[in-house]
Amino acid sequence: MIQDKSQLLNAFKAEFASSVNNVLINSTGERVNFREVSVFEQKSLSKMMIQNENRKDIVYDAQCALINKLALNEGFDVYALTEFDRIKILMEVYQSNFFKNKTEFKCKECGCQNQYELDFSKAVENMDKIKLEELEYEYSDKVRSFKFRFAYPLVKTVSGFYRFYAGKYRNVNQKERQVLDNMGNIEYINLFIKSVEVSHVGSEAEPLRADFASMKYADIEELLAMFPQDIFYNENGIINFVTKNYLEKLNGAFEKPTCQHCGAVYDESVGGAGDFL
Amino acid sequence: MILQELALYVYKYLIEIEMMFLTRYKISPFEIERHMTMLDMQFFMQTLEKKVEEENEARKKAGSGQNLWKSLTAIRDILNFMTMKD
Repeated sequence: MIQDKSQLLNAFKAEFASSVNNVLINSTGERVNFREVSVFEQKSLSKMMIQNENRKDIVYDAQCALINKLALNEGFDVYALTEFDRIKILMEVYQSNFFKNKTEFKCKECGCQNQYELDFSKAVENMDKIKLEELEYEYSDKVRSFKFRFAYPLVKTVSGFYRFYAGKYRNVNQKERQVLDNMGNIEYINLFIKSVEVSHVGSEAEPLRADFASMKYADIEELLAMFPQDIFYNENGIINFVTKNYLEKLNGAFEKPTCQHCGAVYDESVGGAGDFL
Repeated sequence: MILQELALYVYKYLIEIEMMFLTRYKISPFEIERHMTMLDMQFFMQTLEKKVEEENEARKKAGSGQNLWKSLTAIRDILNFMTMKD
């Protein structure tokens, strides 16, 4: 929906006049205008996604390229934003470019026939309420102390991760790949680490600091392999920390449809960002 | 999953439309593709379906057993309305 004069002018910068979708970018607080997807662009993306179903890196970069092409604001680059923003933009693009068809489901509890439509407007509203804050996590053993900082990863980092991932798991079979594709796998969780400081307990020397946002994923993996694995796997470890503070909050924005008669949740619907992507 | 399924669904949908344009109406769909947005296309197809249904009803009432899809009237009407070359 065109809301003001500047948006109308932006619409003419595109190759054809169409309505403009104004999206709030949560990490920067700016609003960016996106034009509608043309049939040709959607067809090309669909073809690419079907042909490269097993190459997440190619699909990921194709989606990012489309987002960059749709943006009407000069200098917009999705690779400089966070993954949280990318998911939200994709949802907005989906919302504003496709008719919502009604789907039917039968309630497992009471057998009642229900109708619902895949509408993510509520999920987008809920995502706007999530605070994108950096969190700290500390761990120390007898010898060393570790101070981690966490944040949603940059799109650039995730893209690099998928490229690395595609090379590393080139020969795994389909079942293994499905397990690895899960957003909650440990390697994906590592991307939420923004930086780490390591210091020796009782030492006055400057702590060693690594900024993960500027490192290649292969180096990050090598570095993390040297850390005590207890940091990741213990009850209050990094996996649980990231899952609780980032992934659960993101997935909590999605609401599953419920039965109109008895209120039972329909499990097979979209329950999180992983289901959407 | 939704985006992956959507990609497959949209691709099939567009190929079917292309086939329809080429075989039934002898119109090149590629010209339309570059100038239409996805919303336009979905709206276009919905309108076309309605028009065809209406025309079908009218033909039945008039006692004609002719296959409706052979007629170009509905699509010509819509394309003229959208001020595009048919």
